[in-house]
Amino acid sequence: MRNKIINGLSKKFTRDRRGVAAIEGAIILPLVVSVFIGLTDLSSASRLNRDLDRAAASIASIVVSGTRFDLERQQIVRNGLGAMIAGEAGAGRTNPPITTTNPLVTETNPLASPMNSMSSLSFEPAISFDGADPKMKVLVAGITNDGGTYRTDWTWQPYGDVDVAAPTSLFDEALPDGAFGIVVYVQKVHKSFFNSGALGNYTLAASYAARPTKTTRILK
Amino acid sequence: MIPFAKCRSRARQFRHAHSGATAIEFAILVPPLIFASLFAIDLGNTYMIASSLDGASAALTEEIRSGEAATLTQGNFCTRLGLAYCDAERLGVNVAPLTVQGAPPPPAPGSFAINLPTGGGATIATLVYRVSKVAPGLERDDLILRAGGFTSAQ
Repeated sequence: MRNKIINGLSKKFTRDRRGVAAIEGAIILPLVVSVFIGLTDLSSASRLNRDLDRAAASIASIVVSGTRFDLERQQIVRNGLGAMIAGEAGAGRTNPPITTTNPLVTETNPLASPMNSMSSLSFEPAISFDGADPKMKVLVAGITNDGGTYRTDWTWQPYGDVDVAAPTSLFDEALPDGAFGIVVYVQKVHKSFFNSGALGNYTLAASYAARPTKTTRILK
Repeated sequence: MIPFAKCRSRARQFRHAHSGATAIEFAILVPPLIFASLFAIDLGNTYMIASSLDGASAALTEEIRSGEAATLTQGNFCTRLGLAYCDAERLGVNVAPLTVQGAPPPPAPGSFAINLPTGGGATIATLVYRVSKVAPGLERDDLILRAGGFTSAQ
């Protein structure tokens, strides 16, 4: 008797067409909303990627235009990045100067293999780049001519105390034309809307290589 | 006064009636579809302007680097930099020295200023463009697209 009732209800349920549209809607709606949010997220990531491309080119332009990438230039680069990426620097804002003891500039090795030996310059500006996550890493490294083979010297550290750093001048006119250059690498964590699990934050990066002008060449 | 039985009968009739269902569904779906279409137009328009601004900012930083930016004026700005969207009231341009003290504020839409550092030096260029929206409910004055870069002026 009980089975009969259950069978009857089950048959009735499987043949009942009422509410089909509502159920379909409930299944499809989350997918549609996810696709919409995903596209919005992709759009903002794409914009950040373009910003990073321009940032890398801009940094390279500043580095190769001078004779050294000293603290003053680092500060200028940091201010420029703040204005470009965050759009907040300026309007009377004065960032604290970078000094050799400034904790905002730290030497770390955060990048994964195969570049895990590189030292990076970590910019954590006084302004917030991205809300709670102000991290944006910038690496400037030299390219050397190793017996005809171009090699990127990631151990080169063109920052810190320029008075005691090994390369007292980063550029040397005696080097052959075009033999040396610099490469700039920038990375920033993009905070995804799906801020959890496998669909959480991801890192966007860009790089740019440049050669100093004829009057300013890198000294190894 | 309509008797209660008649009311119930009409309610039952209303529940079971299928005539006009398509029209009602259509009426429900049309506003979101129109909104989605306008939103798509807005999105496309915004993307085109953003791409154009990116290209113009790259060209502008190159002109600054090569020392040719001094001859840029509000009249020849868009033509020389290939900026397709050139409404003077919406476009804002600011080229200014980038110093250790900080960067200049982004320009307001409608403003135009090119102040190259004397004797060269780090310079930052920022372009903004206020985008107008066509989708209802999305008219926001603060939707301002921004592009820029910094370089060392000759």
